[in-house]
Amino acid sequence: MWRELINIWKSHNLLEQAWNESFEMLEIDRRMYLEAVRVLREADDAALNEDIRQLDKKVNKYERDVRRKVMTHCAVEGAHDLTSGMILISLVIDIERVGDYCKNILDLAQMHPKTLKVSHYDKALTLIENEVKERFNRTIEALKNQDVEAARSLMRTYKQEVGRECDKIVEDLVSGTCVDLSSADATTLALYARYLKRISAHLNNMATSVVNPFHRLGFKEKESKN
Amino acid sequence: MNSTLRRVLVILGVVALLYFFLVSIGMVGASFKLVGKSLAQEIFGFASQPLTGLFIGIFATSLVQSSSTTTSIVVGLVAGGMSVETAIPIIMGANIGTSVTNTLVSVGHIGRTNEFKRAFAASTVHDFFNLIAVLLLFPLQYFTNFLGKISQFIAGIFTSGADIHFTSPVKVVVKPMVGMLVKLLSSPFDSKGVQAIAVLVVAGIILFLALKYMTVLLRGVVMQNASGFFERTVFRTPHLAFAMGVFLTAAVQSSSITTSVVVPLAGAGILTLGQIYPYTLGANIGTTITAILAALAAPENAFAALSVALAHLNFNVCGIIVITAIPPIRTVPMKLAEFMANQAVVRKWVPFAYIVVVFFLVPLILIYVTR
Repeated sequence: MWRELINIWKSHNLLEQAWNESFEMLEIDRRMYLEAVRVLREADDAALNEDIRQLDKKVNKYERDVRRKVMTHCAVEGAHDLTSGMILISLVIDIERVGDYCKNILDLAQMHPKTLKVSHYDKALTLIENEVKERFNRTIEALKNQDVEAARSLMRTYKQEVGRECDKIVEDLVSGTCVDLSSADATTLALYARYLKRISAHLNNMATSVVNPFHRLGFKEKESKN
Repeated sequence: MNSTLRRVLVILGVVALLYFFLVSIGMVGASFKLVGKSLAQEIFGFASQPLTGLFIGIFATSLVQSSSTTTSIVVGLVAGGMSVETAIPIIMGANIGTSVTNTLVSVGHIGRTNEFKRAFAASTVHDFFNLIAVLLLFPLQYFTNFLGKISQFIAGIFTSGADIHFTSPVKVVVKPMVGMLVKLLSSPFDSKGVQAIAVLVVAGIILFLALKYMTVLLRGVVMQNASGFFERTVFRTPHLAFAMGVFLTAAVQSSSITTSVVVPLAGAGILTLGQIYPYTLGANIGTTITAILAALAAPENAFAALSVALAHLNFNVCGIIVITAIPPIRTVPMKLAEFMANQAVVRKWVPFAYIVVVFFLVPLILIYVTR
């Protein structure tokens, strides 16, 4: 028993443990994303290399665990880590949502078991997919290192590199400009583009936590008046 | 400031405050030495009725919200001539009074019904345990002085017998400062009575401040790395939770702090009532270390001072044995706490009435009636 108490004393405090768990959550999200995209875009069936639903449950469990740890840490150690704790609580909500969208992509893949053919949107879609994949890596690094410049760069380029491109595809599909896709492919593509945008938006929210004060999480960086 | 320098400063601060805490105990004893033993006993006559002593303990501790302050002053008074038998009921009362703090903390959750219900039950389980312990052990103490006898026996082992003069190294370090302060505070007055009052008042202020800031510093050091201890997994067995209560409270020297810390966790549903109950019993044991420390600085009657400090420990140990050994009684504090919490969420005036009546009104009336 005493050995156990000493080990706890020597271990990282709960807030540090919670931050480390949030990075693990993001890493799981990244794996889920890669697998979901592979199944939808490359596989001719809905067979999974990894059980994404189990991974999503793991993310949800981590979210509850992080909340409990932050609450316990702030109750025991006082208010000096309150900002960090509140940012983390907000962050894990975004991470959990990313997990949900990855699961939604998987649902699409299962409802549309054949490889998704998107005609002339293929190039744009592949660019978006790769950009989102890249953003996962950059967001994880920016958060781990609390790299303000890296986070700022992610925030600056989000609209242009992902948001706008996804909106363009959806607009084309909804307005009827694109006529060479089957209704199944068009619907799948519209939803898929929307999910990719949402994943990227949540990654952007995470990046804002490195740059912005707590009350401006998820918003643009406020320009200095000076 | 780098963390090593900060840590060194905190350690020096704790040592300095501990020194002044011990000096204040020496001053309490010395103040009664000034007026002579017979007058001192006359002054303590007001608490010679055990029931009065018990309610003084409850009321005084509820006011200062620290059983360590009350028990340390009592140790100082015993060193100054108060009898161990008179002191023990005050110590028992202090045990009840100290639980007011976490109950007050739980009231902060009153705006959220379910959260408040859990928080209030988690705080009052400590109150009910202490009340039941007094209900069971006070009559036994009243008729047999069993706590006094056990404590004197144990103190005798440490002091090599009741009549042998006990010289602790702590006393050697503290005595010159006590002597200097007593001389300094007595010099402006001619009357021995006024001199004693001046020394006693300053001793009380030093004791209160030293304990308060020592607890603040220790909380900073201990609790900085302690959040891991409050993980649900650590509270998975009653034995671990109990050990946690003893360890953290002895380290912080305040059961008010360690029992209050878990109230928001209970409110948030992170810890259950069943997990908090053994932890508060551990806190009851951990808090007794302060009086034992105080006894080491007693200038006179060191044997009696150590006896009363040990009586605090023995009372809590006996309370735990008696209540937890009998299965039907073991769960009574939890059931009462849950019942009270159910009442408190339906009638929002209940928690306020409970605090005022149990910790202030009843003790005050009964001090008046039994004096």
